[in-house]
Amino acid sequence: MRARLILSLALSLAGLSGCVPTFDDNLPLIDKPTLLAIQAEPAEAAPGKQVQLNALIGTPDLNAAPPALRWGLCVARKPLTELGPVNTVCIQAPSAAEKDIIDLGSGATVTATLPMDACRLFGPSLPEPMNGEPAGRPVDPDPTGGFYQPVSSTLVDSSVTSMGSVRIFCPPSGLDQEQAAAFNASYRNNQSPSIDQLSARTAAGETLPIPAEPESLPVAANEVLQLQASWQPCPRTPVCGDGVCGAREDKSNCADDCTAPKGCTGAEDYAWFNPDARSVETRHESVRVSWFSTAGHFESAVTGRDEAEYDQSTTEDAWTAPSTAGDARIWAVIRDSRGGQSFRSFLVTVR
Amino acid sequence: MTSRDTSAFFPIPKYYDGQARVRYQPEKKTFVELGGMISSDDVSRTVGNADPAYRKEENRHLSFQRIYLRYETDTADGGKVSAMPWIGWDRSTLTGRFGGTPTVLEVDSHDYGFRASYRGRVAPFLTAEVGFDLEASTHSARRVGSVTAPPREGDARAFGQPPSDQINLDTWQAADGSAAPYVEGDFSLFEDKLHIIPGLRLEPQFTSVSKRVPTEGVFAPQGVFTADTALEPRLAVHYALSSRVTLKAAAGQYRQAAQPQDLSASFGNPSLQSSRATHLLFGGAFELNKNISLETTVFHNSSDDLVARNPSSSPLIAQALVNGGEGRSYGAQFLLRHQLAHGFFGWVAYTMLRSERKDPGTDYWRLFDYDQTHVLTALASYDLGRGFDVGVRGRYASGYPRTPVVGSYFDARTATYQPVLGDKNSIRIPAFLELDVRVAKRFKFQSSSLEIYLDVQNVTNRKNPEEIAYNADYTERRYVEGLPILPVLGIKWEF
Repeated sequence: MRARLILSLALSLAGLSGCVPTFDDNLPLIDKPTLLAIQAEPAEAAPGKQVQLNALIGTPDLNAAPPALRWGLCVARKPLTELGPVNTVCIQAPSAAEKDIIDLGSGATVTATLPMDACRLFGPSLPEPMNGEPAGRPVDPDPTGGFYQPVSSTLVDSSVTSMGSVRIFCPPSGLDQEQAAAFNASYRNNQSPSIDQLSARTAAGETLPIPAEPESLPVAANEVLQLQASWQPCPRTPVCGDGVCGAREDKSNCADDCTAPKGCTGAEDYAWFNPDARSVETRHESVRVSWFSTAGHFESAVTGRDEAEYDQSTTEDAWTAPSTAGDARIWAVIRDSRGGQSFRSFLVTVR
Repeated sequence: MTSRDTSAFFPIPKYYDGQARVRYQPEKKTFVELGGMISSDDVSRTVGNADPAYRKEENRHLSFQRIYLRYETDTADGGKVSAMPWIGWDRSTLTGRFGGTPTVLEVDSHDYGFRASYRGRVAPFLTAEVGFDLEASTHSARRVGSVTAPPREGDARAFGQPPSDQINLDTWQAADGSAAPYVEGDFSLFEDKLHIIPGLRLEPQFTSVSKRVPTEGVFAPQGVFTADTALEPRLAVHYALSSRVTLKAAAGQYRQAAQPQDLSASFGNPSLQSSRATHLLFGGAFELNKNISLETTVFHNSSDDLVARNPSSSPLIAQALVNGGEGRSYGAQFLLRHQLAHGFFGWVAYTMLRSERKDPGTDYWRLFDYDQTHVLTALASYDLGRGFDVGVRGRYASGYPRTPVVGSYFDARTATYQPVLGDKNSIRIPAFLELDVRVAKRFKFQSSSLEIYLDVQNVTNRKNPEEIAYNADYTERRYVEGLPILPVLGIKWEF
């Protein structure tokens, strides 16, 4: 019998961390007209319903008029060979073929009607059979069980197209009667989140009030502000009269909250069909805030709370003021994991 | 990989492997061997981020075990009989999360096989082998996540691109097997100068999958069974043109059953058929002088029915994958070898290759994801005497093809940028070039030997690009680079 013992000692003269590149990105810096968010109101709607689409465009010139926008509703299904979120023809809007893009017109705000077959195009319903073949594969939901109608928004001057979406209310497939009843009783359409309060804390710990425009927040050059965005804590147990039309509440048992259904503007609870356990469960939205400014820089482009942190209703980011004096605008865009979004902004004056 | 995670990348690998065998030889020309192999690899990595959408974790596990019993005996007529039953277990898991998008792919397999053969001289000019290959496997699989994650060969994508957040779930069982009798002859002609080796393999094969279509509601799943039989002819010819020149040629047909992870009704296609390939090669071996020899091979492989993504924007249910891909590769290999003489040993191997694929729904050939036009390896070792050895190894290889990012767009729902991709696999990672040097000193003792060596990899400290990485909005690109100069001091004690 032969045996071999090998002892080795490795010495590296160079650090292995040099193998991966780093980039000096400053995505939050708005140095050209940039689309920052597309808000749909309502945030979730059934096929055939109208939604209002609002764009938030950041411009480096604080006094500039908002640039012209051209909108389109993309109705092209995404093939499985496409790894991105939409069919690539959607990005070619507005020059894409009419069969792929429905023109929604121009302006900062437009109204769109969701296609009647939106749940067949982008949802769990079987698509229309093609060429005499059986019906094709339905679209898979996102992790929240949602389906989305793609929306294109093109800055006319620069021809830069961004994609947004509207959450389509499509009942999940594969549920038995009992599960469908439980889901329908619990599920409430998404409500766009909103930033309840923005605050700024200095390095000395002083909390500064954020003034409403046209007033601005005075800051020193190179000063670091800890910006905090907070949103409404959502009720975890539905109680009639809490202002939120929650699970198992409806017009018949809670007219106050459900006559004109209202959702919570924070991290909402929502019903979700778990295809693994085959049961209807309650989940919580995650909330993210994207930060932008016309000057200075943020520590992180996006901060937020994931689903497990649903009981936290604030997030913070550090913003360093530029070294030169002048006015700047800061935007905060809040998004929930069901596709809802809204935004706020304020002015700062660097001295 | 974007700027958000390049500074926080913590892979934690754990692995082990081992093998053992026991041989019992009851008589001189007969033995029975019991052997086994075991291997396991685990890698975990976690990337934290202030943005929940960019928090990532990934855990990969790959393990297998094999046990075999091998019997071999030489018969009185000069033949050889061998038989080997074996059994094995494989487990492969990938679990991860990219933001809120989960990815799970678990496959557990039990493998069984039996191979028996007899090889003997049928006539003075003919040696024949007849045998039987039996293989069967059962698989239990579970997958959660996007159809497009993990990506497949041929997917147009940018490194670090977030997976689609459209997710599905499936659990399924599959069984496959084949029972292939085969025969091979070796005709030795013209005083053993010419060998003609025809072979024929008859391979009935079956695949059974527990779900024909994704489960809907409370309906019990319906399975699917596919079977086919293929006749696979093979031919090899060797001809010794002289004592210093030998020519060879070979052709054969092969096929490969669909992988169990592709048989999901939600993520793949339970009715996938086997992929087929035809291999052709021609070459020669030339003894240039007493110490130097040259081997060359020219080859051409073509394959069809390759498993690929369904290109339709409205694919049929349970047809996310189809047998629609085609492949071809051709090239030449050269091996120039200097055998050990006067303390010097070395070789140069060079492969020139082009490997292409044609995806379903397209009418053009594109580069295969792993195509490398040039691969060159040169190695030389010299015995300096007094137990000192010095060795040098040089390697050059063309970079793998990649799909260029020609633009990007902002996805306002996820607040991420998405790449706009150009022609598939139309650019390459820059070439890899590395020089390694090794110096060793051996000490011989009465019953053992000790070697102390210094192995310096990438002695020129070249920054070899290994992947193309983009920044968060895909407006800049840089390279993920390989290891810098890496000296390894080692001790090897053999007893």
